[in-house]
Amino acid sequence: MALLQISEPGQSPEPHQRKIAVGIDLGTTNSLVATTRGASVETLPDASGEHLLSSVVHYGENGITVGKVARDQAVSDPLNTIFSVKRLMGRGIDDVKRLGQDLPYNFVAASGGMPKIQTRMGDESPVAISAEILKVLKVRAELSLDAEIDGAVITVPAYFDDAQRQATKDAAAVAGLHVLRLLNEPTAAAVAYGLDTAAEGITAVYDLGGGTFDISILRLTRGVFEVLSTGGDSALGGDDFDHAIAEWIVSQAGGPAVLNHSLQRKLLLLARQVKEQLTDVDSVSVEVEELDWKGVLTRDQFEHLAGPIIASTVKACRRALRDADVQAGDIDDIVLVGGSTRVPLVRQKVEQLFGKTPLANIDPDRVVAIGAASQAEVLVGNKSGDDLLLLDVIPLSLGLETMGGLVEKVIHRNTTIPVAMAQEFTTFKDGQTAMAIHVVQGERELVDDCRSLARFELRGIPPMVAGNARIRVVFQVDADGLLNVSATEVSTGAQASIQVKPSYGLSDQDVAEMIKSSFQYAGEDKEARALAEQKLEAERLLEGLSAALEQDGECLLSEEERALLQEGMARLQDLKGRGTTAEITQGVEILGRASEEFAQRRMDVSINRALTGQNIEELEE
Amino acid sequence: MDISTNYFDLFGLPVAYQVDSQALMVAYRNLQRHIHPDRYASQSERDQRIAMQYASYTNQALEALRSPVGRAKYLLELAGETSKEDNLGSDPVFLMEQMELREELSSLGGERQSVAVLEHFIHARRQDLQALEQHFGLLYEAKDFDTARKIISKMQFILKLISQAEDMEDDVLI
Repeated sequence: MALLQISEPGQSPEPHQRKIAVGIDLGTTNSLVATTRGASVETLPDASGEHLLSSVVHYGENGITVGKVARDQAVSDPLNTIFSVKRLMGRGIDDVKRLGQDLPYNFVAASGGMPKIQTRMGDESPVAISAEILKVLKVRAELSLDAEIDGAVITVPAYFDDAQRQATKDAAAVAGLHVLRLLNEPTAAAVAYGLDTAAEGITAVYDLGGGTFDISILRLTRGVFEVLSTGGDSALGGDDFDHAIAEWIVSQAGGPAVLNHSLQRKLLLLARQVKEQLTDVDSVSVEVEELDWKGVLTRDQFEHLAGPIIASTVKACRRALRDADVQAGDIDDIVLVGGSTRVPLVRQKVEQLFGKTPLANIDPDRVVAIGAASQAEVLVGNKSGDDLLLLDVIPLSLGLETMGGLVEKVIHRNTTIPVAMAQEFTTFKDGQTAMAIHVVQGERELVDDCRSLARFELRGIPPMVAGNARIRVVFQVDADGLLNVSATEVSTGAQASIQVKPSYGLSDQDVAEMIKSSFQYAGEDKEARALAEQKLEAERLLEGLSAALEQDGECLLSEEERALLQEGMARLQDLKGRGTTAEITQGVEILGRASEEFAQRRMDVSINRALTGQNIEELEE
Repeated sequence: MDISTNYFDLFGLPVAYQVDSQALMVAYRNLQRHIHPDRYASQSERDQRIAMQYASYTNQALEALRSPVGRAKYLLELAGETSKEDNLGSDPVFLMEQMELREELSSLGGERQSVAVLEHFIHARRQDLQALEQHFGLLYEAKDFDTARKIISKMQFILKLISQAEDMEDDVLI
């Protein structure tokens, strides 16, 4: 037997092949980038030593700025200074109007009902604005690591729906980032703590950010982190405390109901300061010259304002506990994430519910980025296969519209992903040859109360008596939580499938267009990048296959099959050296198909091995 | 995929209504350790796709086996008893029971002490559910699939009641 090579913990076996991976926390209020350096994971600061990047984008006379510089323009140039863009991701123009009469921007409806914000540099989509924040973090990481980034894990609120996730992934693509995975924020935080304590048991992560709230219940067993349930509200967060304080000020001052944008922005910034001060002191004096008003906000009064918001988070926690089928007392650790968990009443209520003091020893602002970076390191291939495995869930049920505007759920919330589920439907009328398929997400029974994700049509159903056609609809959710739907008429094989492009999202073409212009802007050659990517993919396939052949070639393949594969590999090897992008892409596809059967046999063997191995483990447990 | 023989085989469990849930979870985690797409994240797209298919199938299998109703439905499917419609509409006794339970639940809303009363109701329904599960197990062994299918409908009804009661409890607690 050959001796196995063992490298130092935390080090890749071949240092020159070490890839650069980062974790990015794209927050409502602040964003961060982190990476693994040696044995530790660190958030990366900007040139002036700041780790937190304000998630604010300013479209100015002299170009786009992001961060504190942008935030400083808020009062003087409110219409061109975009705050909290995360709240707009994957939302329709109607959602946005409902969400934010208090958002001081001019919205315009773009194609497909997606809102854009009017700025002096044109109408900008939430995806494009988010991409500006991501670009700054990408450059920061590249400068600080002095290398190109091979891949990034981007975090999203666990409670983000399909449209919001897709929008985030699109923003990353526009920023030129290769997304290794969209990771749920509470899961990322749990990873950071899991690495810290390595304790087995059940953890609850309470994550109250600037604009989103998540609660996740996880169990760590022998290196597998399973999310048992998740819940929350993707439109509830610390921003709401600010709005409540600002409204209180206006009502105390007897001020006008309609404020100008600049004063509105000023009041929100003031409210935030007051809120932060009330963490340490019992009362704060407030003065607003524009309203000719002076007053005092006590912590009691603030808690009265914040109470209902916090109560609704507690309700979500209770539901998550129930979905996880655990009692509050079963929770071993409670982790607090997000700047808003600094509010004393939040801590108090969480402590009351779980009957335990929450952990906050990792900075709640940074813990998500740290967890994301450590998962990025695993996914990019720098660590061995014995690392923590994350099994996450889908936060909201996915279903289809049926007769009478009712929802038939196909995948229930808190199902572990990736997952595929199929459901059969039938025709309603005699001779019906087409079927409208409307995909929705949410828990309610009526379509109108759920989020509409996409609509498509299955055509070519052979005319039959009503109820005789069998339409099989398959929902496939990948490990990023993104949905793909396909529909087939079983007897004829008529097929329609779509990558669910959300009703309020960008089309593939829009995204491609944005990527193209951003390449031009950065002076990069898109063609060269595409060729490099295809070469890399060919290399991965070849490397994987030669390792597989060495390991299992003799026992799983006949001599003939082996010879065929080796021939195909030689051909791709040759193409890789001199082919065009299109030729290499095609070569990868051909060899991929030729070796598919082999790959599946290996997977089956691996399953059998897992099952035989487990008898020993069972004894250990 | 030759893992598609059946879900029980996939986890190395005997085909039966009673399932050792601990053994199921141990086998499940073991499988995911080997086949989850994260384990293939740095490999070719083809390998990642196959891993996703296997992991998806495994999660689908877990969903089916871990819930008592899912398991019951799946066993009937394996027995080739899928296409027939269950015919509970014609069972007057069950219809009466349904009506009475619904009325009982709706009378529990809005009371002062409703949390305790609702808890009591939920507890009683969980016991109903356990009895139904036992009953299903016996019918399945006796291959009385027609009656077994009716038990599934009853389980689904009880589950729905429990979830409604829980929602009511939430509203009272807030």
